[in-house]
Amino acid sequence: MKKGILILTALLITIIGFAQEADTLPQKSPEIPVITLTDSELDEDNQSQDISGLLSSSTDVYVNIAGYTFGQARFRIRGYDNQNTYVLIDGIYVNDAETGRPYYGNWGGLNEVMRNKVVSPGLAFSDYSFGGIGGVTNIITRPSQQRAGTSISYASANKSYRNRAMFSHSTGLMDNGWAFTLSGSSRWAEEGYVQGSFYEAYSYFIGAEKKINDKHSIALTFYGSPSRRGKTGVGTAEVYELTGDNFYNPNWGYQNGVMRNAKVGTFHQPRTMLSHYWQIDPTMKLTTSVSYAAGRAGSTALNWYDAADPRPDYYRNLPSYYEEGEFMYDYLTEMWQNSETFRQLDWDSFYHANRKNLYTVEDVGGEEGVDITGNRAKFIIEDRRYDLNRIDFATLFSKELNEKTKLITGINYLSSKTHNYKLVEDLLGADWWLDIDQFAERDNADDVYIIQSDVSNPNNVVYEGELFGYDYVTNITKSSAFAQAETKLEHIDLFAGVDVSYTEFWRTGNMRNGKFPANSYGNSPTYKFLNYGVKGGANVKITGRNFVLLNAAYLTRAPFVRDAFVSPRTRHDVVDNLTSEKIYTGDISYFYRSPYVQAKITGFYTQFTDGLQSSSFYHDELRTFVNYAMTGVNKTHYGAELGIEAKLTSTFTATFATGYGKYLYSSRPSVTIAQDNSSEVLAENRTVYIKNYHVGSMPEYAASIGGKYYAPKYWFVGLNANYFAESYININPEKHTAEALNIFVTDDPQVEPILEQEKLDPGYTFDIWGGKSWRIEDYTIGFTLSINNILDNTDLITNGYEQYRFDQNDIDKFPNKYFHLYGRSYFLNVYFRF
Amino acid sequence: MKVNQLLRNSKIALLSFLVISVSSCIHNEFEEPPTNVIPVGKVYTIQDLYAIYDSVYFAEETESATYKFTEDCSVYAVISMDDKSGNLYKSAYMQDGIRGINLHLLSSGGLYEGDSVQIFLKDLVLGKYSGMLQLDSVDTDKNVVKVATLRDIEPEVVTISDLITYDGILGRPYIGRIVKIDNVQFQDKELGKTYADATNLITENRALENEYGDTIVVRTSGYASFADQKIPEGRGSIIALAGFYNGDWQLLIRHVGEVNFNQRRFGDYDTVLFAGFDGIDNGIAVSLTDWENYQQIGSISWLGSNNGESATVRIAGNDEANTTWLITPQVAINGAKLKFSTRGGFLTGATLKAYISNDYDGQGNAENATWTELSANIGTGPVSSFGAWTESGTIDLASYNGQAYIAFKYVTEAGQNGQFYVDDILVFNE
Repeated sequence: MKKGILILTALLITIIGFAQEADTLPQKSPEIPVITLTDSELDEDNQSQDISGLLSSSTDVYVNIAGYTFGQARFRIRGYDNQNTYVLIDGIYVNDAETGRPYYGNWGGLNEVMRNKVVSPGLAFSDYSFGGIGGVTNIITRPSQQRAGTSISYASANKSYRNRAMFSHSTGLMDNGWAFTLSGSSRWAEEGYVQGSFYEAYSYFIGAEKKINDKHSIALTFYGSPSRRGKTGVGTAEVYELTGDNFYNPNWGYQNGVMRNAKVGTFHQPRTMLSHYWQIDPTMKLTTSVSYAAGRAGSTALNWYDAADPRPDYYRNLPSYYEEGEFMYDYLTEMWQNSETFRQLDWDSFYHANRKNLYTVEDVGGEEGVDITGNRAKFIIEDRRYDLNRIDFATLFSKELNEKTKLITGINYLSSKTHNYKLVEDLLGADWWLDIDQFAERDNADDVYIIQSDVSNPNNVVYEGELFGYDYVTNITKSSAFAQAETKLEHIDLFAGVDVSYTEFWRTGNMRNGKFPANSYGNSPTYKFLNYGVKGGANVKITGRNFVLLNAAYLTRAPFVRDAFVSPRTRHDVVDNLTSEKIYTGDISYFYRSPYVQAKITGFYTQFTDGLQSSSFYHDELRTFVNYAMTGVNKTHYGAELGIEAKLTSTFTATFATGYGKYLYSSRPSVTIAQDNSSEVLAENRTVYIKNYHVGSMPEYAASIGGKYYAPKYWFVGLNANYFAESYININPEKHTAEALNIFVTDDPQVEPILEQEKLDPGYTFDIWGGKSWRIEDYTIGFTLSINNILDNTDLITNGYEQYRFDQNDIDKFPNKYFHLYGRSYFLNVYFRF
Repeated sequence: MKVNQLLRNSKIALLSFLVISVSSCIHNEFEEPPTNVIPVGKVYTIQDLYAIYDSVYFAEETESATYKFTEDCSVYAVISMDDKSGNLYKSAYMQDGIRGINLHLLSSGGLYEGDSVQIFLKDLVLGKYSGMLQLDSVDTDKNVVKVATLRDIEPEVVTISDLITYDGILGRPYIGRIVKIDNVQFQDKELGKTYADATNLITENRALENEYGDTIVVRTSGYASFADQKIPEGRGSIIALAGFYNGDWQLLIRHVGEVNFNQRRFGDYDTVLFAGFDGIDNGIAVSLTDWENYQQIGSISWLGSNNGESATVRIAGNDEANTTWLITPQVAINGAKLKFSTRGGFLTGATLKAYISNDYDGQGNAENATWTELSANIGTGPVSSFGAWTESGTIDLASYNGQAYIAFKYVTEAGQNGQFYVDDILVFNE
């Protein structure tokens, strides 16, 4: 750390040194801070960050503003899940194949080399892909397209990380036909904004391109972003109140006086790409790429055997588990408020318990008479992995048929294998962990077969670094082809596209689970889906300043593997009636453009039909993971968007953006609730009465008004006021079944709170940002600074969800959980380019 | 590219690499905390705990009396029952040489049957829970050191009456201990039921009985892994923990495998041979197929006796010396048992005895074979009238496995007389 500060100080001095020689040469485009505004905490295994940085280079005035001012409140454009947004890197589709989501973390810290982007928001025509209904972003990393020169920057922030150092160097296309790009960065924080969180990430990018002749170029790139971060948690109103901290993080505690986080996400999935660019003739281009990505992904977690739940915020450790006035209520309140050891993990106690838990395992590995006696772990840190191995192929052909019309067609293939397993990360002072299914053990105390994770290796004693629990691969192959054409006529631009894809997926079990011996090992059946999509649009040019845009699409989408398997950790079963989701959508916009004003107003309507939603959580009473799979989920999203950018003077621009939508469930899905440790389903095809409930977890209304001042002397400053409202929390489907209410009479006062979907309070924030740059001979130095939530409002709830546990007899037993917007946060970036 | 430019570039590149290779001191490796040794202190036996409690109890004269250990002290014992099967919850039992005690745990799990443990007693509370001594709030992580594993306890074999006996010195010596009770079965009213109500998670009692009609309940939690299993219908031995709850004894099963009721219920048997003599001719010498009615001495025979309501066989003397045998057909004995009824009357010296032989050839001449007298209750009677019908009791024939004959031998010396009835001869397998 000290070394780091030293170097950075040296760097700053260098920069300041140059600054004294400041000259005032004009610079064309002032830097707009492109920053990541929020951390994605909702999705446990999701290292995806919000989309803001990506969209900020869009040319769409609404999307541009919404992208970086609304993201902080988890606003999502048109309420779409990011599964609907395609991200390509040099034409290769890089969204995760299992979940459909783009994981930006895979190239985190490579901002410099990933800055060339072509964004096609929504249903707009893309030169690279048919795309999803949320648009397509193609990131161009070709070394020959990188700005020649060197750039070094250091950023200081108080968000998920506190420091960032970046470097990149590109040669540009040199006389000898070569172009090289080298980039790297480090980002770190001993503790981020949230207590107990830490951040340690690096990145690298190496690219080489050779222009063979005027027609052919070949590029090879290799990049990756290894990262480790201590995760943050989410709590109920009660824990926030008890701790006085709306960012209370239950994941950490002291070990030997040192802060340690139990949930550490570690990712590193480098990708290698080889691309061939072929300019066949002035009107025809063929780009072909292959790519290989592989590496680790996963997160650690505490696991425990035959011990009290060690999580400090486990509901039985909270005062609310008792009645007010009871001894335990007062005791726990006192402890929560005053004892940090109590409200955080107690690592020392795990060691203490593990070091003296003598145990004998008989018939280890199924060999009679082989016994091992030692300290059996009661608490361990396990590493839950989902390592990737993926090959992609893409070829894209474009032909300009005439000056007005172009045709784009492409073929894509991907084969993705995700290896899911657990490793013993840390035995915390114990000698070994016994790999049996403790969840099955209680119900089958005398059955030594059923409790085995792998009956081929029963009573398996595992040590640090060894695999246990579950071990399977999800395999996906997807082949697709698309064609689209665009023609630009005098008064109208038209485009149309069609896409066909064939998806196959299956599960390969590497363990034969004792509970599902016939249904867990080897390959599951293969599930096959043929999907297609059509889309089209028109831009009616009423005058040179007035445009009407119309777009529509219909497509079908194969279910995502992550949702399809009922309990992939233990068996091959998939949800009943696996079927493709159907999506149709349309929008209409009016766009006004003059030298001073750009304004766009849009209305949109989207219908999702036959969707599938799965989630899984640990149920402490059943002592197992419980899996919810909702099928037949229909959703309707409709609303309006408005974006205005007015150049009031040559230096001052005012912006306004607002989006208002309704994102509603429009069917009564069926829910099936299955358990990992038993073939007995807790609920089968129960009707979930959520029609007209909100999809939730985002504000449906957001507005931002702001002004930007660009001084002639190379500095700029901007201010935004943002308002968020109409935010509903995510619902637990189980609460909305007839069975959940069967003990109540209809006029029971408890029925309403069970059924009600909580609406969060609206909120507003102010952001300020600015920067300055200097040009000294061939050098540019500058800084940008942004401060979000200037008023330091830490009470603004951005999102929440109903816990998936529900107790009819005590409806408040599992209260809602909430995320708060970070208080005042800043991001200061100092850069140096030459 | 000029040379000095190149030089400058390489300097910058070097600086850049330094920037990127910034090594932050983010914790990756964590030092293990020092080992926290649980002291031993003074060592007590479980009997000492009972004595300590009794002194408090007698002083306070209330069942709610408690005793808190304030000094470093420990007790060593072996876990006799854990809560893994769900029959106990947050609870375990342990015992040393002669006594057992309940441990109430702060959280379930962590102690296993056969664990040899040191329980550090400081700050623990000794109290009575529904009449049973308990060490309260034992924290498996803080109070327990495991010394060894798999030290299984040999259960002490007791009868129901042994178990419930109140001992002047030890009180209830078997309380909280693992016992084995042989030769018991669930009462008829319990048959067909499960150990407990697993559906509604309700604890239930099932009554056991022995051959003397002593009863004791088996109590099972609805959460037990075997709660939904049907109780066995047979008879045999049970190994269980002897619990005591509000004045009632109860047995707690550790594993269903320790309920070994694989014998027939009391009264259930397979008939190897039965003679009830129904339809026999009254007053006529017994002459049944494969039976021998053999006069070794004298002239009297075994006669049929049938008054239309009951049929039996009888023999009556004539004041002369007689030795008359009634010998059954050959029976194959394999652990079988024998029962019969007899009635004596007007006895002036006559005797009736039951015998068994493995070498009799079934052809008259009983005196040539080896006969062993069987220990049976034979009916007696006064000189001038009949006595009551008498059950022989169950006679174990297991020592005579193989082909055998059973005989009833009537003997009088001259001047002696007497009558005997024999009925319901039953050779059976339980």
